[in-house]
Amino acid sequence: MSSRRSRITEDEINELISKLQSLLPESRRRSLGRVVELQASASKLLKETCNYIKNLHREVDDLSERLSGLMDNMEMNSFEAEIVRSLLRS
Amino acid sequence: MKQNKNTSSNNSPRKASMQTYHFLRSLTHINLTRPSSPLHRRSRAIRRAAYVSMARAASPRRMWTRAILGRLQLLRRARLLRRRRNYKKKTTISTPHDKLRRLVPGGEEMDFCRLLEETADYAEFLSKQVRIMRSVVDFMEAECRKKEEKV
Repeated sequence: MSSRRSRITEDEINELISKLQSLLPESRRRSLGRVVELQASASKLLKETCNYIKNLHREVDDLSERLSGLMDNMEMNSFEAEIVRSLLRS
Repeated sequence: MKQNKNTSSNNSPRKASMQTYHFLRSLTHINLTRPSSPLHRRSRAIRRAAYVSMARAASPRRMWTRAILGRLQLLRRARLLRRRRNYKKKTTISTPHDKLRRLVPGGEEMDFCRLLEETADYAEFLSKQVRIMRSVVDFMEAECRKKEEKV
């Protein structure tokens, strides 16, 4: 998942750069075809980003449900021990 | 936020552990104050704690953190009311731009370049939060299994 995250950031930078380039009048005159190509990949990037974030939201919801079910079964003492251990590990 | 008994703030932890720390502290708080509430209400509280701990660990200058920590509830309710009113007029196709705006908190009030920056930042903290929650769930499941083996 971390590699996917860096891919989106890089592409975002490229997309911002291409957006800025397309705003300049010279590049618009010269390469209309390329601008269209850039726009297509930009919208693909946006869709991919939206799906990525939607999936992450869904995972957070799912994990919250599982956590609340697990908290049911745990007693208070072991819960605090688990907290201390997780803190020490991270 | 209510303080638990042993919160030491002498040395500030790194950013990643800051997020873990906030989230685990919220979990203990939820466990203490609502031990017998119904599952769905508790899972909603945990979900809110997840987003709040993300926002607390991130930079306060970000729009999405301000949206989460500040007026998110008000924004959500206002948006729901607006949507109910405009339900019949809804014929516009939402572009990917609009979808992204709705996914990122506070996204409706930014220009597009700012939205991309915020999206990258938000996605980073969100994926970190998912990792934290997964490791907590794995740990707790292992503990439950250990207890069952003992019995």
